[in-house]
Amino acid sequence: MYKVTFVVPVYNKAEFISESLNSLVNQSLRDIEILVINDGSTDHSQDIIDLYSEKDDRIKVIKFDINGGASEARNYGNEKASADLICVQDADDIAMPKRAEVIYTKFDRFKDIDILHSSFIAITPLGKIDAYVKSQPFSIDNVIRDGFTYIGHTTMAYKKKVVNAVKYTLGEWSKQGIEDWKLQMDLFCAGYKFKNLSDFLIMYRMTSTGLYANRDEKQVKILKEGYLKNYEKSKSFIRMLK
Amino acid sequence: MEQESKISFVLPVYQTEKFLEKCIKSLLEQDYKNLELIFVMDGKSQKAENIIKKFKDKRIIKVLTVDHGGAPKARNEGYKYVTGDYVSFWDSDCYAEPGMVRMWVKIFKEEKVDFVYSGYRFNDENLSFLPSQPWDAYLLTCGNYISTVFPMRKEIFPGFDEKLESLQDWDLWLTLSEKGYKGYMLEGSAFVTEFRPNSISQIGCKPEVWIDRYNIVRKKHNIFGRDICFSSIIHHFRGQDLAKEFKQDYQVEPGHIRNEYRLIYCIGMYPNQLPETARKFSHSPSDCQKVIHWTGDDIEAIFYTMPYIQVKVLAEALNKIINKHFCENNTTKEMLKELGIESEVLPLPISKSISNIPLNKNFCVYYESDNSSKEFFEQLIKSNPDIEFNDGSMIKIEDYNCFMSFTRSSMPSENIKRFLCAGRYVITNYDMLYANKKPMDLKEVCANLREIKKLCKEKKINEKAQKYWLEQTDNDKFIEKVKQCIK
Repeated sequence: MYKVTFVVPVYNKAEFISESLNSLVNQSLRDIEILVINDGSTDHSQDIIDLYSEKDDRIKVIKFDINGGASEARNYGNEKASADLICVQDADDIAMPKRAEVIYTKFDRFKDIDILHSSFIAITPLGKIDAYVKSQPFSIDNVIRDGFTYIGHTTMAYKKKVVNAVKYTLGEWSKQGIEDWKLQMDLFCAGYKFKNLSDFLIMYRMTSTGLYANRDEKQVKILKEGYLKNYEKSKSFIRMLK
Repeated sequence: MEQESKISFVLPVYQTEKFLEKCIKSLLEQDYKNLELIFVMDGKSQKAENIIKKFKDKRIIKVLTVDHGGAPKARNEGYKYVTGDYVSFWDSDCYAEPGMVRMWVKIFKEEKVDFVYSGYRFNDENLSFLPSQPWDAYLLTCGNYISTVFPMRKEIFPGFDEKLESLQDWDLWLTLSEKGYKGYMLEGSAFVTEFRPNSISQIGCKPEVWIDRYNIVRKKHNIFGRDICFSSIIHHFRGQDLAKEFKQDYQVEPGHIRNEYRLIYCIGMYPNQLPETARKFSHSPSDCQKVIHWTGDDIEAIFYTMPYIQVKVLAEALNKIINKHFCENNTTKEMLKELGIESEVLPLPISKSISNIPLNKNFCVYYESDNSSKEFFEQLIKSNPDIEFNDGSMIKIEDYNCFMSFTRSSMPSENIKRFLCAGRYVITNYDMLYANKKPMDLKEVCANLREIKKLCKEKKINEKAQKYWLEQTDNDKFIEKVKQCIK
């Protein structure tokens, strides 16, 4: 029985997927499942994935013919995961060797926690260390003030039952690449408990291409503000009820 | 592992008692057990015999004593008692590395060659490694690169020439090579040898003596007409290819003994290798023409890494010593001119035989980088775990299907041309006809590499490039120009 499942959606990341998978097959915790979802890549990502999946039967590959976006791929992966714990991993990120082990033991220790997120090392597209980013506890005040959750999506690990109840949102949220923000807020609003780990468990690659490049900042602002306004309203509504 | 084949070691012993015990041990303790040792006392030595007696091993099949007459005679005597399939004339001051014999037998079986050799190490502070040279019959005529001790199939042994005072090993391998027998170089070190400046092979090491001894062997094997010696800094193949193409000599260090060359043609002149370059020109006759061929990256390195005043001093010194400067292209010529060095553009020729080298079955990439592209290549290698990447000074085109060069240098590396002539694919940031010009963009380069890999799998060579670039090379003009330098 697998202890942790890594869900790795891949969309045209041929130049980075090798390093990412390499960091997963070399995890110190061996009982892990690696769920690779090729989300309709048009480059040679599949060739590289095959290289690894042929050698390691912990790697399960799911192939979509058409690109459906990260949200859909993650939701699908989260459903299919066989372990009770799921680690988020992007195809261009590199997990530290002990990532799975730390996540597993921490969930074991803090039984009431539903979501863990950690510190991360930001790296350039060519793999050079750019910054060490320390994690901080989730605070709704921060979100209302700055609009940011300050949780690196790729550092997250959650219990499977949590993400089977609250899913990544499709549509505009996914299109703008802020489905992670939405999920984090949804999880918070649903009353799930977050905890931040100080450990640096992942190297996060800041690529210039990808979703951020064609993000429409105005649209993002509208989406986030709308969400927060409604959140305030619902909160005062709940307060009134009390 | 099967241990059917037997290896025979013939060991002449002369004033090497000090090292004998360790030497015998290194052979008897090999994990390949099917071997035999034959000792030949080159002049009676009770001390040595006592040491050998201490080893109560059945594989020591013979200890015979002959009148002192030199190692070749002793080796020939010992050969008469050989019962194995392969024979090695071992030196008693050499210690075999673990696993050596096993590797030999493996290569004999797999490669079906007649003799096997490799580099070795000296028993000095750093255990410094002396590399050998992949098998090449022509280069053997330029000088020996195979030590005496290496094994051959027993039946091909022609006997050591007892008339020769030294260089019997060179003579032996030349004789075998002329008969069409082939060697194989094993990577790595086979043994560690005691470095003894006063050992037999070093006595009379005066340059005058050596040139005579060389000439005796050359004459015996009809090696004549080697007026020009090519030599190269960093990339050995550059000089080697020219030597082969024009039937001249190639030496790593022509100046290590006195020589009679009429022209020494040194390719490349790098700031971190200046003493090595200077040594190439020593010990040559006074009328010997000294030529430097500037490849371009070398003068650039000198310009950018040395203080300007030093560069000026160097240039003046060169103008005094060097008779002629050739260079690869006009950019290089301009740079040299700035330093007051007059040069002539004469691109290095490319051997036509390069066009017949088939693609490697495994897709392997050779790359050239500098500080501006180091990180890029590191990432590229990580991104493509199924592709083998290599850099460094040993380029054997047959090992590679693709060549990549991303540098900030103002002129393209001449290796690009070589690879294109060989029908290989090239990805580079320079404008070269029939090479793929790409920016240093990971995604684009990765995708391009994949396309090339697919083409190579279908055994398609870069025909257009090969045709075009081979037509561009005029080797006759090159050698004519070079020969004109000789007065």
